[in-house]
Amino acid sequence: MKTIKNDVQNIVRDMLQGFYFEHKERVYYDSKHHIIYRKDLGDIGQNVVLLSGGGSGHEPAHFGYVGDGMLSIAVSGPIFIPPTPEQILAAIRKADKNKSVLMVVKNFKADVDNFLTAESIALKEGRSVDHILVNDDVSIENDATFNKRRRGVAGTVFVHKIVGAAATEGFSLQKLKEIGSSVVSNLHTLGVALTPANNPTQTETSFTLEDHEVYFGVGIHGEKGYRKETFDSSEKLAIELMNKLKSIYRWKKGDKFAVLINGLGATPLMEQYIFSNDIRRLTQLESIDVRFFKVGSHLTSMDMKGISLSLLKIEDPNWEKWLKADVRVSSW
Amino acid sequence: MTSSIITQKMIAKSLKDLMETETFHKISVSDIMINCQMRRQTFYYHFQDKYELLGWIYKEETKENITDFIEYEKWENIFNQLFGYFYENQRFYRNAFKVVEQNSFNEYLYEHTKNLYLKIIDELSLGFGISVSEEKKSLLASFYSHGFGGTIKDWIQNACMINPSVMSSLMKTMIHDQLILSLRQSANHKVEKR
Repeated sequence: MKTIKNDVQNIVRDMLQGFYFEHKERVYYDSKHHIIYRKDLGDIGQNVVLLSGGGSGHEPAHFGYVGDGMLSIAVSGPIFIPPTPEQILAAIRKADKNKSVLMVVKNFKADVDNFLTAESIALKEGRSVDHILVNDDVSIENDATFNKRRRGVAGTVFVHKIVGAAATEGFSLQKLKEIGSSVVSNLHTLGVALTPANNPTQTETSFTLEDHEVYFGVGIHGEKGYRKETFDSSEKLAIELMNKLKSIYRWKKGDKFAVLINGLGATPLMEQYIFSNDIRRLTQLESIDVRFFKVGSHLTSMDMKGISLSLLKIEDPNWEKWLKADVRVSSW
Repeated sequence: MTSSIITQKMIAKSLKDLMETETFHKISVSDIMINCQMRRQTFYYHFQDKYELLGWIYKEETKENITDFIEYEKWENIFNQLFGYFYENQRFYRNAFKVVEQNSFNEYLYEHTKNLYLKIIDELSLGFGISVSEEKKSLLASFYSHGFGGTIKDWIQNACMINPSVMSSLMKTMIHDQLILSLRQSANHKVEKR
């Protein structure tokens, strides 16, 4: 398998250095802790600084969302491994002590453990820190329970955008946490893989697929899905994902939604837009009111070919306003 | 022109909407296509006639609501969802059951509920540690699927008088209790034969 890299051990460092060189006009890079943060962090007007992060391999998440209107700080771990509590603590300490820090954390056990460990240390230092756990993944656990997996996946980007925009309006830490938590409870994501991801630090992929097969419900680290079947058409992928999300929302005619079509890493934009067109037609068929529609590779899984569909039921008109607000980041 | 399943769904929705207020026999292909603002010719790219369209709705919607959920959802929830679906679509189905020229509903519902019952039998027999032969499983699944189809039809014909959640609950209890009894008896019978 050919990939554009040098020493595997330095993948994250090399990538972040490259990103920093491109955006050095507006961000700083802490090369020791793998943190990208806003250059103007010291004098932003908002009360709360938004921080996110996680394992690498999901680019542009999360450093691609650092900038005015979204995240202020992003911290990166090794491929598919969350940053350590020390890294996260270093990221929290980038903020002035008089500012509150709100962390957006994807609901994976190791991520939650590390972020909350850092949070408790920061609290002891007298800092004001809190977190939002994103759990939009509605695929199923790999057991007989059929319980939804509830990890944090692509919908996390909507949380960055909405809470990031709200933060610029000066809301308190508590209020922003409430907004974020309310968004999360209306946010669900389901994806389909056409190929597994190749992790350069592993010799084998986490699952295998025949050339003709697709795999519904895989996770962003290659967690198992719920069904493999022969690929037929983009339309059938769209119908499957929409039907499953419909069973969760039980939407009514006229319900308002924001939609995120997310390429999983190696899906050409052409294919993402073909799928988007199918979703457009299905939302029309269901008579749901799509107020915001976003397409692109926003939270990926290395070079996985596939796509995910995130829906956010808009319960507060401000969410739409904040999704549409101008932003100055590299990847929105 | 190549076939599009979403276009087929749009045409299907148009027919279903019209059947809320009009009998199937009074609805023409032109009516269906005017209602969904598509060219009449588009209908014939996808279906031979309105009878084929009706059969397609039976086939597609029973598959999407039953078999496509088998690996994703608990069987109890699939029942809830299924009764909810038929409740919402009851006017269409009451109207459709009068179409004697297209009576494939039973066939498709049977096919997909049988898949569901096979899953239930597998799960329950595994949970209770009972071994059931494939032949027996198929026979039980077949028996209950025929019963389910008849019950659904009667319920719809009777204007869904019983609440869908009550129906679903009744069916779940019935299946669970009776299957456990049957499976235990089957297992006992098997032991005795030895």
